[in-house]
Amino acid sequence: MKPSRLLYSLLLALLLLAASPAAGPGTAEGALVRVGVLAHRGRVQALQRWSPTADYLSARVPGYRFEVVPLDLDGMSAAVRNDEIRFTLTNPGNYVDLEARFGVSRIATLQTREQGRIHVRYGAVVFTRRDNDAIRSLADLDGKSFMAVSPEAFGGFQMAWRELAARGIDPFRDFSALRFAGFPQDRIVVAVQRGEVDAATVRAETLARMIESGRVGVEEMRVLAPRGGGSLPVRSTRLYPEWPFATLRNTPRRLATRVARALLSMPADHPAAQASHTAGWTIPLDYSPVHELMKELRIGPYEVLRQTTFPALLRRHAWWFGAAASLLLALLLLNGYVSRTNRRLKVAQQTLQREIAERERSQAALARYRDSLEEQVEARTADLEATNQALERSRVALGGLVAITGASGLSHEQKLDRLLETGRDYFGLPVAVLSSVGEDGPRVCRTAGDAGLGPGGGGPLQPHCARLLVEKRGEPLDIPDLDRVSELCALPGASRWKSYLGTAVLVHGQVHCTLEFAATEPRVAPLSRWDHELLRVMAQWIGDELERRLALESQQRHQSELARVSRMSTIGEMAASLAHELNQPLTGAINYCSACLRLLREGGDPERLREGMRKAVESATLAADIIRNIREFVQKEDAERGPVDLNQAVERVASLTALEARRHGVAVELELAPRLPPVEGNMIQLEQVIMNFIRNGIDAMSGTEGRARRLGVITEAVGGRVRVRTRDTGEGIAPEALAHIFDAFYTTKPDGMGIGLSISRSIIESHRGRISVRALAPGGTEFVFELPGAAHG
Amino acid sequence: MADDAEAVVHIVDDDRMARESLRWLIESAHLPARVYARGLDFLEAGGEPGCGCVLLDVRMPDIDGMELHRRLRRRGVSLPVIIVTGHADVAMAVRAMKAGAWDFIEKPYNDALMLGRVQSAIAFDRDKRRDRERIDAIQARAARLTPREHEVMARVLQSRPNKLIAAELGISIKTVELHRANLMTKMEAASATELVRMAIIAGLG
Repeated sequence: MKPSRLLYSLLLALLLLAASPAAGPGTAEGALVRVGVLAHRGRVQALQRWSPTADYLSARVPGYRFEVVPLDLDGMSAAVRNDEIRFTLTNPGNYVDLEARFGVSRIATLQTREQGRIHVRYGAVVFTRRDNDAIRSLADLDGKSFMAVSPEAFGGFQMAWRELAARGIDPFRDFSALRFAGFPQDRIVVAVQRGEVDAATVRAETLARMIESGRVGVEEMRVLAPRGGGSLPVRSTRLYPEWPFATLRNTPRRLATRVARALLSMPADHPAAQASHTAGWTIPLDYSPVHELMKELRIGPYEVLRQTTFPALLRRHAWWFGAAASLLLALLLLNGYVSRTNRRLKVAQQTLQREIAERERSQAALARYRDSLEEQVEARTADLEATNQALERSRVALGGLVAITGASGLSHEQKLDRLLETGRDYFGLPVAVLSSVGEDGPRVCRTAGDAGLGPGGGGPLQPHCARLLVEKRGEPLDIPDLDRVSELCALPGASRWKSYLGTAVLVHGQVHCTLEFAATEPRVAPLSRWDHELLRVMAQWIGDELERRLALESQQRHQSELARVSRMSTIGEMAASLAHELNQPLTGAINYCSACLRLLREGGDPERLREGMRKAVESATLAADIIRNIREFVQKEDAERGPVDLNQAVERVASLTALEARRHGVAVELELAPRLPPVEGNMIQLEQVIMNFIRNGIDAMSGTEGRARRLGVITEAVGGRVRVRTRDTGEGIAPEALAHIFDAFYTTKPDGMGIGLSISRSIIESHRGRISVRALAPGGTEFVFELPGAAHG
Repeated sequence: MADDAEAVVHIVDDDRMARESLRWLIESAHLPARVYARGLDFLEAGGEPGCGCVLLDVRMPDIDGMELHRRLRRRGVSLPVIIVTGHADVAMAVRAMKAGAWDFIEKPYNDALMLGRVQSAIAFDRDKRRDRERIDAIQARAARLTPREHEVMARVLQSRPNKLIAAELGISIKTVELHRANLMTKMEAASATELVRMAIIAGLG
């Protein structure tokens, strides 16, 4: 009972909370009017049953909004006491209680419809199974089991209680069992049917309805102390007025009046009435029969009358008894808990003592360790400092390596020399030798320091060690004192080197050379792993450097081969022209010789003969020059570079292409800058570029009509750089073609290979120059290449 | 008089060496040679009246040999032209010959071939010039004839007897004989046969 009260209070509070936001006076529907409804069958049921009535009232009483608040008996009392509701709709028993305690007053009484007739009163029936012969009257119920709805149920218990009490039976004392089944009341009837209880009480209509619907046989049940009368079903109790609709004392009279009018005017068959299983409302009835019942049973407002009896006292002060019992129980529980905790504490204390002892032992050990640890820390700190220094040296040396390998102004050999110098300084070993490991035996590439100290013969410093280096494939070999290596001592002619450090240099994963450092004195201070790491890095960078140079050489070989092929093809394309070019001086020579022969036959003038022969030689020389030019142009040149006079190059190429130009009716005009500084480069390759430019210009104009075909070849010095330009007066090249003109195999000519300009570009780029092309305004194209002057290279 | 005129070989070539060496070769054969670096120079020298031939290099920057050849024709310069080329280009050779070139020589050539061709060309030119002179002389003589003598000559060339000529012209035989004697004298013809030959050469009649 306690928990349920609590629960109900909580529920109520929640409900009030939930409803409060809508309770504001300014809502559109008007002021909120709460109607407390006894939820004897549960909240949901109450809301379903009565909300339509609230809506009906809202509609009929303008300016107010009615809301159903489902409440249990205690909640109802609280709500009325705290003035939380304006109206109450509850059972007659509860009503008289509220009337007596809080002055609520009824304004209407519910009507019910039963078997087509409207009733405003109702009664209860006490019944047993007809086959239960032991019970024939109410008095026979003494000692039997009994079932009712609930102690508070007016029609479901209290009505029958009054009748039983009148016959000297106290239901709470005299039944063998008293069970409350709650709603619906049908369950109680079924329980009797099944014989679960001997007898029971329900509202008279409930049993009548069940009989009518056939769920209970007409002769199955025996109604005890049956009373009849009028159209009402048979009952065992007196009649009492139906549920009243009551107003609270503080509810405005005017509102109460309007509500009363609205209720009384509700049609019996109104949907709201149907929803509440009623037949509308009638004027408020006289509830004095209810008062009499309460008075007799000493319940409700008359409960004080019971105080003299112990059970009544018990019931009245159930709260306090309950609280005392709970306190006692709590004390017992507490006692149990405390003694259990005590036991646990004792166990914990023992554990703790063990732990303390253990800890003391540990602390003693720790103290012992601490001393030795301090020593160790000192030692480690010293170690770390040494390592730090080594690392710092390493870092500086690494920085030096980076600077060397990244230096753009240094040649390959210079870089290698500087790397070796750095290594010598770093490792403190005065001699460094880098020797290649080739198929034709080892060969010294670079040395640093006094390599003459070595065994001579141009091999590695220590041949035996060098062989080991090759086997170790890049792992450092560090021998502080060679004399202590027995197998070396055993070798004949052990070298004078005492301290030795070396590693293999890998190129493309193959051992390419060995890098060795050595000193004539044994080394005292050992090398750290950082030093070995640095040696590894050094070897790796030397390897990278060699790899880069090999790649560069291969690329240069490839480019030069391609360039040569291109030149061959150029000469091939020009064969006809060149043949003619040769024809001229050859024909000349033949002419002079023939003329001289004739003169000789006629015993001609020796002076004239001499002149003829001189001219013949001149012509033949010219032919030879042309042939030499061609041969030089196509020969496979070595990569040697030297100073090149671009003016001279232009002239040579212009003479090679003179006939080509003539054949295409192109006038080649040379504008050569005087005192042009030389450039550093490969003469033949640069001539090839000029050749490609000139031939390109001639080809560009071969289709030009109605315009002079002029090809300007200009050399000029521009701020320490030398520039060569060719300008033709051809049709010009489409912009999209211009963009690709230096791409390999791109050609706009039907018979071109498309490699000439691409090779020109790679040649100029390998000379650290720039090549470009642009369209000229009146039509025509300008090709330009620019190289750094030799003085600036 | 034509025989006395020395034949001259005109060399047109833009290449100095080719030009000079060819001059040497020609001169070694005791033929006078004149050299021109450009075709226009030769044209400006104004079509040589004398006997000789032209050696022309086909490819030159200003006007090529073929063009020069055409212009010479247009000016009535009838010197035989020998085209010299370094290219064995059959199509061009055919074009040159069709355009009226006298011959076509490919470089390199041997001296005998070159000189033979040059001398043939000169001989041809000389012959041509001699014919021209004879025709000119015959025509000059014919120009001196009176109209009546022309009428009589035309009929003599048709081998008409004097009697018939007299009848046709409505003159006496005696008069015909007189005209005939005069025209034979003026035409320097010894016989009627010779007169016929002259007429054929000079296209008279």
